[in-house]
Amino acid sequence: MVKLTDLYNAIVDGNLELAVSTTKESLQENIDPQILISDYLIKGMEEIGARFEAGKAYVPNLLMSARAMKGALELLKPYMENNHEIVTLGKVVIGTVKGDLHDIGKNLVCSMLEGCGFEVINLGVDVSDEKFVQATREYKANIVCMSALLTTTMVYMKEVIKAFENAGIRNEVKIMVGGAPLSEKFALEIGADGYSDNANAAVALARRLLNV
Amino acid sequence: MERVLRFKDLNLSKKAIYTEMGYGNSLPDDRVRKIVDNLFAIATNIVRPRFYVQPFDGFISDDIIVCSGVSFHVNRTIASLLKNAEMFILFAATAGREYQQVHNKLSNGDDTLTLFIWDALGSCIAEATGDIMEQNVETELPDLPHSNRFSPGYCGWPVKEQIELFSLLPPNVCGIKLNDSALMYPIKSISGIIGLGTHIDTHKYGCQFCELDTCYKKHLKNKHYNEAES
Repeated sequence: MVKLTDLYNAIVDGNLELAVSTTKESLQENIDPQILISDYLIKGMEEIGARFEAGKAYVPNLLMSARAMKGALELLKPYMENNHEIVTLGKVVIGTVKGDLHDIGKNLVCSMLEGCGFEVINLGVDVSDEKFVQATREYKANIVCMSALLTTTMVYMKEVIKAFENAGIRNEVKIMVGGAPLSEKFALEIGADGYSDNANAAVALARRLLNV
Repeated sequence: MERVLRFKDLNLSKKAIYTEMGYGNSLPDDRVRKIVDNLFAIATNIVRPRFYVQPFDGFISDDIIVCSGVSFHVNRTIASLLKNAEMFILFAATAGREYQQVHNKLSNGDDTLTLFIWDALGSCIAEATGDIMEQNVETELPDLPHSNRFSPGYCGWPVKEQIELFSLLPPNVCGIKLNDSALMYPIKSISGIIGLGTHIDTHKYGCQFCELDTCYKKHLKNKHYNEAES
């Protein structure tokens, strides 16, 4: 009989192999996928997130946990087709704004969002306002995430938000911003819906904004 | 003068990479250390950092440095630290195209952890290359004290002035290109200015001199300070 606490431990420890094997065993034993997600996978991610916030875990731990979570969720997807919202908390379009080539922080946020059950459309770096709007329409995204590392490029975020207003879809999407030189104050000033200063906080913010 | 280095010339320690990754005084677990070991091996075989330095006559007027007729609006912090300069060195240093190729390959894959570590390694490579470049300046001009190095994008010196800075360096110097926003590619590159002079300010440069509140280095410093306090 499968030991379900292994699934929780696999996520906390970032053990992909154990996460996958325990998920497979659980499915073979007909355990409800929703129980696996809510009682073990999400709880595991919450634990590693809490450790990170407390300075007891580091970015690589978050990434390994997110990878283990993603591996488990991939196996659960086919079983959840009739209950789509459980494995996809929401669709996120993400990119580093025009003029900026820095992508490591943005990629960390992608991994964490995917690991925590969001569908992520990564537009890469040097992304124009037009491209953000177009992708949001095309993928019917719930959230747009913008990243910038430079004080000279972060101001472009305001132009992107304006482009969403001009396109008439500003109220249909939540806009999150992040990046080393940004602050909560800056996010409010440019009209974003939220700001986070690390990948773990970005997931918490996304969930809060969508009430999931 | 352009110089090509080998990775081992940088004498980088793994501890420096761990620190760059946010570990402070802690050690990563075995899995992470194994990846760092592998990436060190790759870097040893592949990475060829480069730097270039060129001396210029010039002068400072208010907050502007003028070299060969080109003006750099460095802002008052940098101008005051360079006020006694008798000559200037413009420099570029990079982790190199070879580093960037591996970075691009990792960026196209889904192994974010390895990419994160490679990125941290790249930051250390670029800074260590800059340190060797400074040592080289000391060797070449032993009788003239030099300032710290200052770069566009810091202390209010607009990053877009990298365009002017690179206009004074040879085309394609160290394989570095600027994009439309004046950012360097390979991304792990640095450029800037060093002042030389008998009475130049040689104080260690740090965030205490800078008035730019939005700078990420200041954010991180404050964050680490607050964490240490709590």
